Amino acid sequence: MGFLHSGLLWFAAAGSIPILIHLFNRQRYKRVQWAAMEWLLAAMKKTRRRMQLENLILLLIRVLVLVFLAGALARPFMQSAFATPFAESNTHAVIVLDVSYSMDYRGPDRTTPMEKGRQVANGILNALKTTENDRFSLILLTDSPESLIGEPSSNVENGRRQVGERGVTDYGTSVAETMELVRDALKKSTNMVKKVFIITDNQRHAWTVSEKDRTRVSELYREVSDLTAPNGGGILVYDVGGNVVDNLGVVSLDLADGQKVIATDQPSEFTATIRNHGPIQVSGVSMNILIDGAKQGSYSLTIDPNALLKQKFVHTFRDPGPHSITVELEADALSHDNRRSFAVNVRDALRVLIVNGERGTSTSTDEVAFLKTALNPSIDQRERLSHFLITEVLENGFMREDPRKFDLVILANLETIAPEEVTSLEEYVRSGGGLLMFLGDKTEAYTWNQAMFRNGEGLLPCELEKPAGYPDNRDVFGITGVDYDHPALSFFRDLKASLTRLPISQYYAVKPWDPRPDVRVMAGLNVPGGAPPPLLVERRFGRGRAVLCTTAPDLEWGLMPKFPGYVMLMDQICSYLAAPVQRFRNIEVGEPMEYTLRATEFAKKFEVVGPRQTSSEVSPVQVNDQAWHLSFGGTSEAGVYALMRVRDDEPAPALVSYYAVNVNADEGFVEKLSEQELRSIFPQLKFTYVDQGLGTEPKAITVKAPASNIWKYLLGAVLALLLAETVLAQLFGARR
Amino acid sequence: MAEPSKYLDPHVLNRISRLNLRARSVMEGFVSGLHKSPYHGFSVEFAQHREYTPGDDLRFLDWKVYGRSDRLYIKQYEQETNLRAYILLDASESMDYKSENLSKFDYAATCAASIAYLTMEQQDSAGLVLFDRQVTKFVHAQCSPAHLKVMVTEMEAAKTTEKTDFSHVLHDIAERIKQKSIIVLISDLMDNPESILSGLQHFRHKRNDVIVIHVLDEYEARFPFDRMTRFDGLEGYPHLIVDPKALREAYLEEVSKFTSEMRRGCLAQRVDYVQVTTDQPIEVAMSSYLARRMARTRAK
Repeated sequence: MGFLHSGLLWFAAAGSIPILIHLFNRQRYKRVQWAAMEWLLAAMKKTRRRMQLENLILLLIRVLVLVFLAGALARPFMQSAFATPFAESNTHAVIVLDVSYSMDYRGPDRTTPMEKGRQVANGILNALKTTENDRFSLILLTDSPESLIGEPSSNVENGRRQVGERGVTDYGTSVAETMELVRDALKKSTNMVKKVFIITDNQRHAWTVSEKDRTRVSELYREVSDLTAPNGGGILVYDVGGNVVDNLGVVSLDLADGQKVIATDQPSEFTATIRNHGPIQVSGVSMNILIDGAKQGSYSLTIDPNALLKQKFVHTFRDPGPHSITVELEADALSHDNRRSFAVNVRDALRVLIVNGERGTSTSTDEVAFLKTALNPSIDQRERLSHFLITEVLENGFMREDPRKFDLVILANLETIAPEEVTSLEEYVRSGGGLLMFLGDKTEAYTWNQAMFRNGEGLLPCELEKPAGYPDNRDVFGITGVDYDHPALSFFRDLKASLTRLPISQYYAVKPWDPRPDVRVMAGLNVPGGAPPPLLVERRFGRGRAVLCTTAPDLEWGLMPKFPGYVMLMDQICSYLAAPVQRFRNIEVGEPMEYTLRATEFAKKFEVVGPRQTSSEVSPVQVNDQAWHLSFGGTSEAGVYALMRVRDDEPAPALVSYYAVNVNADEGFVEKLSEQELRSIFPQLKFTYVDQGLGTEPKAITVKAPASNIWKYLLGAVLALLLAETVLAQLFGARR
Repeated sequence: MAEPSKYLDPHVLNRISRLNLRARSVMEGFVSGLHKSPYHGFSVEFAQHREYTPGDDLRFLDWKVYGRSDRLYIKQYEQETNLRAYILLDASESMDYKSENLSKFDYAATCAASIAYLTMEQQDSAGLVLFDRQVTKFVHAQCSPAHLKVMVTEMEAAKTTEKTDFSHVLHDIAERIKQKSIIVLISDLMDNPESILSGLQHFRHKRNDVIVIHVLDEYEARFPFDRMTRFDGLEGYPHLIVDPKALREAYLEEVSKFTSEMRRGCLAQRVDYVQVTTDQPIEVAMSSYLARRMARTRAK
């Protein structure tokens, strides 16, 4: 015998209350002197036995009422031959149905795992005895899991309808994420037997977790296993996936390496990566390129088994503004991953504001002369030899410029910086702008630290100490410790020498700091002895980025500007900082679309037009005096979404930006995880594996629960005892 | 200090006196008519006539009236009924019990004083015996206002601390009263009926007329307690903690059984038995008894 809520058994102690009341009442009496004791004693002698019996009966009834009530609340159950006649089905079935897009894989038998899954789910629902005590919950298994029926329900008809209506989504799979909802559903359950039915194609990817999350997920699985363990419950994994794996998928679409800026009239290079998940070479597969929905070209591909193919293609945009690029493979067994899009904002030019801290009369004495030439070699700045359009101001003219008009602000060897300028720059970077800071002989460390570092709160990634290196440029340091994974330096992965041999003689030493997630050292200086001092350090600040270069951009602290690598380095860093952030336009299914409005873009109403041309209204939320924010969460379907501005003074909605919402590419790899592997990866997860072929009826759905309805009988006994107590108390009382 | 007239409540006396005046024959009956006096009165001053009742001395029959009217009248004279009344007042500890206003002793003493007063008013003599397990005070019967005062003072001075023991004390008193008298026993009768009846029989044996006034406190008669009560017994009984509601029925049965036994015993010995409770107005209780006694007497 056991108890479902054994904690409530403590209430049985309430059974002592009538006894305590009885004893307490015996202590609370009126005291009188009494003459007729003879009669009282005679009466006492006559009635003592009867009174004691009556009192005992009433006391016993009252104690039993409370004890039985506590017993009923504790929900006792019994698993014995004696209790069998009382037994009823009492199972809570948590049905977890995988609706990730891999469930749409149409195998050689022309069926999909989803169709099998629906059949299994309906079989479970049919097997439930809801007229007894069986209940169910329905949870959709994706990487954005949803509790369709979270509260334990007995409405099987609704369950069947929900299962029937739900189709495969564009989501990926994460069992770990979904198990959180399973745990919540189990915790709500009051049933004796708790069973979790995970109906999935059981692909490897669904069970994968990062090393960081492994401990947490293992604990979660242990908790769910423990919750389902008692009374013959458990976790059943219904594997409805097929065994054949042949699928092509576009796993990525991005700008080609080194291509950071997409400008009008300049060829832009893209890379589409296609994976053959199958064991057979695929040849002659056509891949179409669509720009803004219109087909622009096509490639015929041959891909080796289990291999990746990177297919580059070039397109030149003529018009600035938002554009979408889509690659599309011809149909195969799983269509969801055959298409991938990329949204870009094409610029006619990138506007750069250079604040010159030391204007010279010649190229060699001017702080930024080399830098300007590197960014735009045109003699006439209006000439389009580069996508950079440069505006130069002196230190004292900085205040007159509004940084928000520029894509990049470069501070070159400024002595100090005014608080208003700091505020303006911080707002600019926080809202997505790029900032590049060069130091030099004029840099006043104390002032800079006060204004720009502010104990780690400011734009400077680290605290400045003092100039160091070889005075008068007697010798040079090379560059070392280059982070080639950094987008600004990845270009040099194959051109390392051109970067590492750049000669730098002097630099600004900085204080060491504890690692921070928002600060990244991109490169250091090859100084003999000790750790290399940082040369390039990036600080992520809000939605923007600031890069500190601890040396000067001119010849004063080294001969770097005279080397070709200088031009490439400046171009890469400045392109990286100034390029429109494309990442936020390219998201996965389920991620929210985010957009920060500039003042000129403001409107009260925006619309998001989805891949099926359905439109949803979005209203901006004011963040501060200058900024409004838009957020749209309805990206449950893969494809290109258009953010449109609706203004009364404009004849038609204006396109603000495209968003490419893509499926999780890993989901397309329909490789199955075997039962043994699953058990070895997560030994904490105790489950029964059911290889569920089509047409096989689900088995082991419900179990006869231990007699758990004893509480009903106890409650009946409580009522009977209460009735008896009332009658007997009346009867005994009438005699008194 | 208690007032001398504590038990002579003018209000009560007034009520009883007027009652007496209104029902003179009742009072007469109380002292003479119902109990044929063994003594003759010494007074010769004619007071009034009254109808003859069997037992009256034929010497006082007015033959002239009989001759004229063919009806029998007795001539009554002042101090005609020079009788003795001994009031036996129980002064045991149990009489000290009171629930509301008067203790049983106070109630009994008021009855005793009132009877003594009325008796003396009619020039009869009254005596007082206070007792518990033994006689604590014996005041011989006399007839004078000063004597009444003595009786009242004795009643006021009585201390109620001892247990009653009728088996000895009534025999003792019976032996000490040499002349035939009216014996008025006022007590709560907290003893066994056999002992009490045995003592009463002794009085009857000596040809005394006996009236038993059984005084009960209203709570003793009704037992109205309703919550857990500790009863601290008087007269040396132990305490008892009980739920009175559970005991009431049995208790009242016991009371009824006792009073029935007493009533039967008294009837058998031709002793008047009157039960009064302390919540009854004394005059009402007495007049009720006297009315019944008169009716019974007339019926003889």
